[in-house]
Amino acid sequence: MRPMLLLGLATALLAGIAPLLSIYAQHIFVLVALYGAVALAWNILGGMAGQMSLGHALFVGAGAYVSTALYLKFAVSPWIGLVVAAMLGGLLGALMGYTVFRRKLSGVYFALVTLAVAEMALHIVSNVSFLGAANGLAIPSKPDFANFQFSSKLGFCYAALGVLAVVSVTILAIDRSRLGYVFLAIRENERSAAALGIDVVQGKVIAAAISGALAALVGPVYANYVLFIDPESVLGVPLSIDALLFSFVGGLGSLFGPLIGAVVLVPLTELLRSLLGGRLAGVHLIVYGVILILVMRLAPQGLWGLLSASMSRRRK
Amino acid sequence: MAQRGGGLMDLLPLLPQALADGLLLGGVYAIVAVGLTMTFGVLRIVNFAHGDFLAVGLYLTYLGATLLGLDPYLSLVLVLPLVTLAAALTYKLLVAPVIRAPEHNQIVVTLGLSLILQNAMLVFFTADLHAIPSVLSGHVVRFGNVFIQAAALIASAVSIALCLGLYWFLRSTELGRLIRASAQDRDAALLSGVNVDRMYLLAFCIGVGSLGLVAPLIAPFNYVSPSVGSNFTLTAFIVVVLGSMGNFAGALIGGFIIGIVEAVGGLMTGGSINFIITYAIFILFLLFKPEGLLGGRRL
Repeated sequence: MRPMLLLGLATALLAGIAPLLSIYAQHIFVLVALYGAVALAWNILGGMAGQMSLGHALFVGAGAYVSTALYLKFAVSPWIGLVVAAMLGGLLGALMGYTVFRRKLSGVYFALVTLAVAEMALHIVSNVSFLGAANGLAIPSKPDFANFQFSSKLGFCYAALGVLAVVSVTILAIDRSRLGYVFLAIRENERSAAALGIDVVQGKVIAAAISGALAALVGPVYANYVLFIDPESVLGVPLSIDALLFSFVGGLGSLFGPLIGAVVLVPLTELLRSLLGGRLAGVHLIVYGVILILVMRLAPQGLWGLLSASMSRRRK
Repeated sequence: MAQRGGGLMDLLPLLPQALADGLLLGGVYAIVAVGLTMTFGVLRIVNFAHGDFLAVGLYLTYLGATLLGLDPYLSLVLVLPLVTLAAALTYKLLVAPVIRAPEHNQIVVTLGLSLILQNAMLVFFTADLHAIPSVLSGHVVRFGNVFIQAAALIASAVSIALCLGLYWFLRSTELGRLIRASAQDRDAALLSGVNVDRMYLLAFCIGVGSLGLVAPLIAPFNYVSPSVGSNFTLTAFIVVVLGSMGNFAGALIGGFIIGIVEAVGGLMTGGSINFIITYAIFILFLLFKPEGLLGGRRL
């Protein structure tokens, strides 16, 4: 249980630090925690089980839209929306996984299908006036605990940290259980896994469902934080690429590498944005592209790999 | 949808025009997918920057028109070699190191390249749409009630020629045989004395370089924007899968099918949801016929 204890300590520490931060730093805190949670969720499927998704925005967007629509149209509290979001995300993940993995199609097909499904969802939502179509949905600002809106940024720091903690606990629980070994076996060699009596299709579908459910949790928190969602921001390809990018930069195989990726890259993005302003809109994405290629070429294990390598060297 | 109360009968007279538009759009999809058929279908290199090379070609055409006053058809002599050169550099620097690595690595490296290319174009050219005029821009050919842009007709014709040409090249020439051998069994080809790396380089240059031929041809009837390529990338992948990986005839048929579906679907639904239909077709194919239209035969 030591990792769980460490996780609890880390969460408590972060919760203690949050009130001391400036408003701007709290904003970064929320973004890092939310992006980190998406990346960690992505990594359950992409890193731990080895099935690369290019469409995780689908889950975040589905979560954001279902909770926002429930709140705006049926006055259902976003707290309930959060639960519905996770269920919807899990269902979508399982469906998508079952569709592709049952056919024993290789990795690139799964990547293409996830990309296509996410794009399809984006175009569908853009055409449904009930969901605000391309204009998106704005949430009226009514700070109240029951509305999942907090009067200060600190409240959102705790909400984002909460989601991050839920995702992290799930990852540790998977890693400790038989499921963790199933994922590992599937990732390393599907045929040997099957020969050992592991139901490969079922394993991958479970990974997709958990990953989808956890990513969907981020949607409602994000929606209530910025009080506005539209198809491009929560269902667009850039969000899916962010999830993948943070995971690869942080370290694909590791449990918490993707969080490191978010910790490094999210503030970097904000820094570049504030330095360059609106003039050079695409520069931070060029930097992302270069980082992605460099990591792939020079440090395939990501930042986590570099850190643990230098740690073990020091120990000797 | 509801506001079209007149029903389908009212749309019937428009159908021939929609079919023609669909065929021409399909020609464009096919011509972009042909290159991907070579790199993805035959070589199994996953290149998510494929469409971005088309965008690069379009911007080169645009530069040729604005800086040198070249008609798109004339700038072909510049754009084709430049895009081919870019393809060669890409292969040497980025693709070759991960050619035998898992698919993941290829996807990530080419996604990185796509981010760089797209946003570099965004920084240099802004997000504004540009049209590139050509001597053929205004010319319309009329068949009965159907109007067709001359430039689109030329692009479709070249598309068909390119498919047949590449099919013949792979099928019947010595080089084509060497490329196929390299793709099918790298080690066996090496043992037989084939310079596998060079064959891959050549095939990749043909596949991506073909976009240097495509860009000037579609420039007269398309807008240029930094994101134009990413729209084509996913559609090209869909067309390649639909047409049975690595099958040039399949890519041609797949391209025309997607084009017609989008044009006719757009006519019946009011235009904005034709992408949804394309993706739905792709997913249905993966579900029920993952080997594509023409079965599992490779080439």
